[in-house]
Amino acid sequence: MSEEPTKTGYVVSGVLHAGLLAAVIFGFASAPKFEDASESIPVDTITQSEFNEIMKGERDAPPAKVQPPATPQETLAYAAPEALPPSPPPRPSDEPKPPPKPAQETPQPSPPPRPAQDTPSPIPSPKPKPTPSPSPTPKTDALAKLIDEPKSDTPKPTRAMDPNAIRKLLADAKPTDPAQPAAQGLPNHSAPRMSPSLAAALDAWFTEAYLNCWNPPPTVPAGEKYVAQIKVVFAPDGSLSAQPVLINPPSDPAWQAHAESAMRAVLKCNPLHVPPQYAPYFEQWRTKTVHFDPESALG
Amino acid sequence: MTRLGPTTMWLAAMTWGPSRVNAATTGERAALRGGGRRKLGLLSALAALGFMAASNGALAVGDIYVKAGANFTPALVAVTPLQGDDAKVGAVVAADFARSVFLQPVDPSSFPEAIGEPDKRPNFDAWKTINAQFVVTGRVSHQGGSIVAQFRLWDVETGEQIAGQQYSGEAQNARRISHLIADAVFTRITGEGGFFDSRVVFVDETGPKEKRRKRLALMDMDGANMRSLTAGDNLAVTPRFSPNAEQVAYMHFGDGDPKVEILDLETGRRESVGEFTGMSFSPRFSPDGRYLALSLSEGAASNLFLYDLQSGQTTRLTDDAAIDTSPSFSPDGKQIVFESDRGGAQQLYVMSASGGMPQRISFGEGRYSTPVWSPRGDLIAFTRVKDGQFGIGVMKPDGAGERILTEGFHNEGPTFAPNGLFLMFFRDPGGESGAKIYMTDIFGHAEFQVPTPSYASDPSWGPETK
Repeated sequence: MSEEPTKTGYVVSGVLHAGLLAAVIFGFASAPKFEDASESIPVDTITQSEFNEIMKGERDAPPAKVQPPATPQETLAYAAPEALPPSPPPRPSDEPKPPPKPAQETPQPSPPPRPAQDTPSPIPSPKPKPTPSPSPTPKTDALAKLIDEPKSDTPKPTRAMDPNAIRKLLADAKPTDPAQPAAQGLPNHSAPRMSPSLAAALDAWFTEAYLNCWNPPPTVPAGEKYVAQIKVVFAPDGSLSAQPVLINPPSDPAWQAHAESAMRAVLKCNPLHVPPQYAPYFEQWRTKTVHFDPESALG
Repeated sequence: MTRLGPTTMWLAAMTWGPSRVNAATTGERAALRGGGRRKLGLLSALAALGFMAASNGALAVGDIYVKAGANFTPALVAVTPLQGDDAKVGAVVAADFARSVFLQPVDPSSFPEAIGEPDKRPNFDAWKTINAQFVVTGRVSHQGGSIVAQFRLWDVETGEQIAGQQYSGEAQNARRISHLIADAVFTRITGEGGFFDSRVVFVDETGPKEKRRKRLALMDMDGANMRSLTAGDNLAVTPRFSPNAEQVAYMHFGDGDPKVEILDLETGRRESVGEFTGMSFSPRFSPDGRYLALSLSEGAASNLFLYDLQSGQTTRLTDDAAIDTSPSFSPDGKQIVFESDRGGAQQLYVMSASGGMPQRISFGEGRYSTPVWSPRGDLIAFTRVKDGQFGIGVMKPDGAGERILTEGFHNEGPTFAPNGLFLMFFRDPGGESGAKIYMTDIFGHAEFQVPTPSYASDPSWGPETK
């Protein structure tokens, strides 16, 4: 094989280098911020036998507490781990308990936002109710049933895991947090993606729409600026499919009027007639967080 | 890693498997074995490109950032006819909104429904068709010489009642009740203090220009209920309200030097302030009502003094050969802004209310005068004369952010509304006519003339009536 570089080689090399450069410039210029750590799962490899040993458990281990799964991502990868330990899992008590899902599906650490309730009552922010997603409880049950099947009440599990059944459950699992996008590599990720310019155009369209609907209060209170953030969930026709949620109610009552004006803007802009060219990419703009920044008109 | 349960680790192992980690290396090794570093380069480049392209798509998940800016639209409020309202309470409320800049009343001829039951939810879908954002319903009843009025404020977007209140009083105070309703609605929607239930003391000017009669007068902020305070045989100018609106300090031209006097609105009694030789003028009350800051002439100069209204003691605040005048207190009473020509042309200075080194805050071109400190503390309004043009402007207390709200011949003498969002001033177009009082918001969105029976000047806006 000749070691001398040919003209074709130069051309191909040049094109690929240019392409790489362009991809780096444009790709990283619009690179999204890193998603939550839950998107990536650290991997440790163990052998089948080691796993079986772990699953057998210890005879004198304390009975497991039933806790809600900490993050939706964990729920996706496996059903409630606490349901698996050897002792009779108190799973039936799961069902009457209202699933804690609403607290997780909206990215808020605090209880459902509710502005000050003193009369006259301001705009109440209803309990967050994003698009109802299948609760993990049935899957917990299904998986647990799978695991516990051969022995209903005996304290000691001795049968092997059925990896095929678990894999099947994983394939059926839907993302429990609608705000989190399907990450690369997960089975659901098959929808077409918008180009950067199209996505930017859609963001600009949303921004202008909400700006037109917004009547901010006349002045800005002193102190640290408060930017109301409202989470909206759309239906494909651009109308709100769930009550919008103010995810950061102001701690300073002086900003209450601003928070209310933001909520009014979102309600006034309903339904939004999203232009049809964005319709195929609905999954990517189905949920949005709108930030209302009150730049002072006093300058 | 150790936090994950055993199942996770097992499943991860099954899904991603140890073999995947080695894939690239294997491929590369294969390429190398296949023939030539060239192929390796090609493969890496293609892999990199593919990776870049795949990672680009997640943009639309980004948040939307809306910045409030130049777009200003008032909130549309529909004031529906109040049930049983023949005292025109609703009309005064709507008129207040029409002059409020931040709220705007909806034209009644476009109302989509007639409110039959004021306590019941209106048909919000109908109101949305005319873009009304708020609806006011209510009822008024008269019993003998008293009036009872109640209102409900409905938010069309959320479909909730967000305010409601009942007021009662003497029938002659019906206008005050309207202003209280307008204040409640204004405050609920904008989050700002109200300003409709307030009064303005001013100079009422009558007669021909050569022989103008100037006397003190009082009116509601919308021009209603005007009454004279002095007889007008002597000139009275620059009236200033006391913080509790019970007294008016002003400059009186009688026999001898012009002097500061205080008029008690309740009793009508007038008394001179202090025993000063020479001219005293430009009086202004301190926010706690205890002191009067004023200017005393000393030869060619004028200096600022503090007069204790209870003890009669006088304290000197400035001591220089310039003309220092027009003092105005900050709302916390700790500072005074005033006008001085010590640097040449008149400029604005801020100093401690107990005297001390003044700091100049105005540095623009022109002559700055008649400063007033906003009750909110965040702005100082002033008159600026530049190239023969008289402008009313505002700046921050440190002098930054100077903005001129109106300019022309001849604007002068701003005074702040109780909520610090509006200014009144007077404008004299010159010639044979006279001055009129105008109202504007501090952003310069809109301007309204205040109806007075004759010419009017030197407005001083009092606090919300208690």
